[in-house]
Amino acid sequence: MHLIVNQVFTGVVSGAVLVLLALGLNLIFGFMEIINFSHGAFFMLGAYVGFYLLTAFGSFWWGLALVPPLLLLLGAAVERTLIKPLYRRSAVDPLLLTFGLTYIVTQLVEMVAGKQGETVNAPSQLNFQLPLGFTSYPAYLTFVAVLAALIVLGLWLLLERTSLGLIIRAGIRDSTMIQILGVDFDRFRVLVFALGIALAGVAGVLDSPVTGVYPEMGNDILITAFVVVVVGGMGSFWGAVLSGLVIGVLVSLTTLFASVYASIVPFVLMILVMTFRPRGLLGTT
Amino acid sequence: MRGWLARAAGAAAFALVTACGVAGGQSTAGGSASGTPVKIGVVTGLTGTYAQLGEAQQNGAQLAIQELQGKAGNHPISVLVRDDQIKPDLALNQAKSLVQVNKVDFLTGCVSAATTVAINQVAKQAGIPYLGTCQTEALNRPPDFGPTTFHIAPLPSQDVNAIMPWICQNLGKRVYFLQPDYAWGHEQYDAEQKAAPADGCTIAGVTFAPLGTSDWTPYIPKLEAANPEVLMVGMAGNDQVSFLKQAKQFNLQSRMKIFQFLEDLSFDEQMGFDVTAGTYGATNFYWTIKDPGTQKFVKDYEKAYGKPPSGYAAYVYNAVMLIAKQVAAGHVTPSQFSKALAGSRFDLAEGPESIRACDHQSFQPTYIVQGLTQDEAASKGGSASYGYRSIVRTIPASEQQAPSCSELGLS
Repeated sequence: MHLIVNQVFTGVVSGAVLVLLALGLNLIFGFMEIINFSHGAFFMLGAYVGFYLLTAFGSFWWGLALVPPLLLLLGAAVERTLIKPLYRRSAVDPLLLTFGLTYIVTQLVEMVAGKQGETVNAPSQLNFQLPLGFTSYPAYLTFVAVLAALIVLGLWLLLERTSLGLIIRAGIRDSTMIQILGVDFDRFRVLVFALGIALAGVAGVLDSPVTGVYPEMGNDILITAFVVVVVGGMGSFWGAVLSGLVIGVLVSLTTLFASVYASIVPFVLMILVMTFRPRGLLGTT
Repeated sequence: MRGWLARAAGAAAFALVTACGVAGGQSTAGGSASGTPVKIGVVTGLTGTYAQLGEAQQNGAQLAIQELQGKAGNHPISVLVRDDQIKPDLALNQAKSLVQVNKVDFLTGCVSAATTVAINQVAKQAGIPYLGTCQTEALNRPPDFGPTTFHIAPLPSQDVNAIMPWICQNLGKRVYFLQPDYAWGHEQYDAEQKAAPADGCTIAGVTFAPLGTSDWTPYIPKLEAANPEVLMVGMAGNDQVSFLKQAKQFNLQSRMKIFQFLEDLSFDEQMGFDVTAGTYGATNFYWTIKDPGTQKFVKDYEKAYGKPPSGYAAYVYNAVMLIAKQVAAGHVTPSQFSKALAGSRFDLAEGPESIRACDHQSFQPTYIVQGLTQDEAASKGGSASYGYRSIVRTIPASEQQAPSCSELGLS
């Protein structure tokens, strides 16, 4: 029993980064109806920028503090220059563009940083075991889970308790209607895209002391993040949160009993959800 | 939505296939006439989990050509390096392209037991020699072994049989095996299952993890619960690096001895002294080996690349040098080359080695290395920057560590 509890907690911690990544994807898809294939590349870019800031300033915290605003600006620039011209065109075009962007960003990182990857040390302040009653757990991983929970809460408050959030939620529900009502939809599109990219960047920084940084790191996690979005329900905020945690826990428990099947668990879950509940766990349409 | 998604996926798949390229053309055996250029195709993993090993192999090949000044006797000699991304299908296509389009005379390289079989298959069909440079049990026995197939890296079972007695005597009796879930990991465990009980150890458990696993946290509670004295880490590359870093976060090193089945300087560099200190590992090359051939290679490599070489650089350096030596001696055709190399002895980057005549398998010493702290690096490891390890035991090469020729059906 002790081992099961331990494994469930580990799954929740592993799922926390997935949740952040999936929420960004979900926001962009829900508001802009774009499947952002470059999300994993920005996750990787956030991790690399965090690594270089750590190298330059000698502290992990610089990366965590600066990557979100930097990625926010980068996201806004990408939306204005590359994605905006495609809004009046077929929905396939932005998909292909972001698909190509993944390759470009990954190749650029490989050219600058090499293919080998780098390791990132967890901040020295969190380099200890935290007694949690049922187990002792690395303080850094506990911090990741707590910070991810705070970001989720902050994002929820932004969407639910502010006029900005009201417009975003209305845009997710019916973008035509808010344009008819006179909302400058274009201005909000850049904001939502930038916010989604910033979330990917934070997830990358938080994940870097766990997995290290390497050019393909975004490709590996993006597929699982897509599964999280589909299982949770396209566009559903709490669906992405629930689905990310459920997938984290299921993968963790499968690792305990049959590790070779752990990597297929998210896909089995997706097949089951799409068969029996096509709108996702908490999706509405 | 589904319609355009399907079209997009189709377009992406087409783009990928086009990017990978599928070569056509006819295979010819070149390089037999005096002065004819000799081309060596190197297929290795420059992208992916084992990218550091692939880069080392590329460096080793280029250093060999540089030292040869592009000449093997009176033949101009060159290498063409291709990235297989450690994917067997891509390795097959890259090897085919090298043979059919670039008309290479020899193939070498590999960082994965999954790709080496594919490269060898192309070489066998083309009738050109292939020198495998990664650990595998496949190349020296039917059905993959062929008259021009050579394996100049150790068999996993060779290393297992070399190191297991030392582990059981010096580190602990209860061993847990954490293995990569593909051919190499299973080959390791097949040998470990036999060697561990024979050497006085018990198996505390085994877990196979997918290649490319980056989040190891779900694996660690299970390892802790098994309470082994020794944890054998069978992964390599980024998988090994990320596992050991996460194990350090869980303070696993204080509760069990950690042994890396494959130690490599490039992994140590990524992990740093904090993680490697106190761990153990096995390798068939270490840059501080006191051998004239090794030290010449180390000096030249440091001059070219600014740091000491790793074992995977040595494998391909050796492969290119062996080819050049035979070409210079006039053993240019596949049959001449094969006849001359089988049963030979040589002393290159890894020190004295031999190639068994029956299965073309190389035999080389195995080294057990221990991780040092940064303070110990300069005095015990030979360098303040790269002295991650000291050699604690040298196990001489022995045919007893490998299946015999009659067991392989090749006597």
